[in-house]
Amino acid sequence: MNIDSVIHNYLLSKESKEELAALELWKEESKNNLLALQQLEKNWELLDDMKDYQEFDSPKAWDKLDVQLTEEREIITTEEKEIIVSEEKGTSVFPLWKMAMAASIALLAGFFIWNSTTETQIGDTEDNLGLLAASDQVISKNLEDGSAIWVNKASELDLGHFTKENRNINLNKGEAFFQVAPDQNHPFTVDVSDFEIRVVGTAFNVKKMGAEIEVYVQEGIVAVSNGKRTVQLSAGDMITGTVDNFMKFDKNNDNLVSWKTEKLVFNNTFLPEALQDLSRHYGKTIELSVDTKTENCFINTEFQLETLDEVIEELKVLFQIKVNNTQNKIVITEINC
Amino acid sequence: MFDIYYNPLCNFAYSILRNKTKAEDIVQDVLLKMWEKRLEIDINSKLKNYLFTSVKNKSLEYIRSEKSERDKISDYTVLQSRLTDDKIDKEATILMMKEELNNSIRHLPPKCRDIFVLSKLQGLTYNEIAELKDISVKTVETQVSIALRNLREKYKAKLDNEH
Repeated sequence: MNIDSVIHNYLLSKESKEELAALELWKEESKNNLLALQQLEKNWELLDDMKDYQEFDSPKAWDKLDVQLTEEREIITTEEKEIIVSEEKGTSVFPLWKMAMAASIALLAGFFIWNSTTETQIGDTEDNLGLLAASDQVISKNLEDGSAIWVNKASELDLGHFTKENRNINLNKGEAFFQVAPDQNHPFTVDVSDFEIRVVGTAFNVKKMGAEIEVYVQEGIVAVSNGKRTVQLSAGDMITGTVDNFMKFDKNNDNLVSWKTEKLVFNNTFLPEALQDLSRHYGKTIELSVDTKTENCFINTEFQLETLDEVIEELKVLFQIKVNNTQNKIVITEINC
Repeated sequence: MFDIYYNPLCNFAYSILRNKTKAEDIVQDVLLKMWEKRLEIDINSKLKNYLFTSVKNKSLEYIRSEKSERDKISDYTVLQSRLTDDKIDKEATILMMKEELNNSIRHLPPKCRDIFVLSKLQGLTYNEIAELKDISVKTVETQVSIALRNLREKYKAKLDNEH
């Protein structure tokens, strides 16, 4: 019996009686066998808690510090040093992302990018280069392959040389929604640098905040890859994270694409979760003050084209809430469920 | 020193700030300060404590100054209660353990590391990995076993050396 395989099964709690017996024998062989196994078990548990653990670019940071230290030794003035640091930030901040998507049935995708390189043009324009930019309202366009795209506010798509045969779009900034006409022979791709999302007939949303992305699948199956590894998502699944480290959840919440559907549906939804959807949709934080008790708060309703004020009025009726409404956020100070 | 602390400190700062770039900025700043003041610091006993506490202070300082723009960051007071000295000490110890483990995983053979990470960190099932990598489930199992053997042998070698 191979002890590696025995230990593997033991850690997965699927060892047979024979394997357990073999393991006991092996443990008795030496004290260090036992101690090493205990350490392995401990780290095996620790790994479950490491999904959030990220790798930062340590060599690069070291180079940067090294430069600064050298400068200090050369007694460069503070002002000059600050300029150098901020220039470096300009190049290292927010790595560019690449996403490529291929779809055979339908896909929706949206991106938020805070690190826009170019300012949104004033007005909604589509110039000769195929730039589709939305500033203060959502715009949509039908493509020649039968697909349709929606561009969220403050977002920009580069259609490049989009044709039926070459279905490739660049998302320059913001969030967009793609409904892709099926065509097995011509994959539909959206690029945002270094990341690839391959679609096998589906509908999904993508959001980007700084270096983090979020992909939510509404229908079908999506494979997300960063070039090194690939994760498969099915309907209701979501991944979040950075290009080095992302993880998968079972989310199942179509309100994530409410910016396009203009509809928020709550079906016995736990209120704190509903507030997150509302915050995202209206672009204003709605939060509960710490002393509110919400364990019995569930909401059943639908919002369509309501203003945020109207939503708050409805919440007042439903839960007798009291709010503190400031410019940046709304805090619910009292609630009765 | 730098290699051991950089990732854990960045992860710690990230847990407070939820911003990777800012987290790195703050950690680099703290490390730079530490380097400048290195003669005043008792490196052996208090370094970990000093670094993590400095990162905490810098992060909270940043949140205070940027609060209006950073609504997403949890409330300042909530953070403060999360970050008492003894809690930081525990968190720091765990982060250092994670880095050590992360480092051993980094040194696994590439194929084996890939599969191990997919399984244990990305949470994919063996079936999903097999499909993705176009290999058999048995191979996935073998590769994970090899990863475990690697880690275990490393621990054992360390123990054997101690005696």
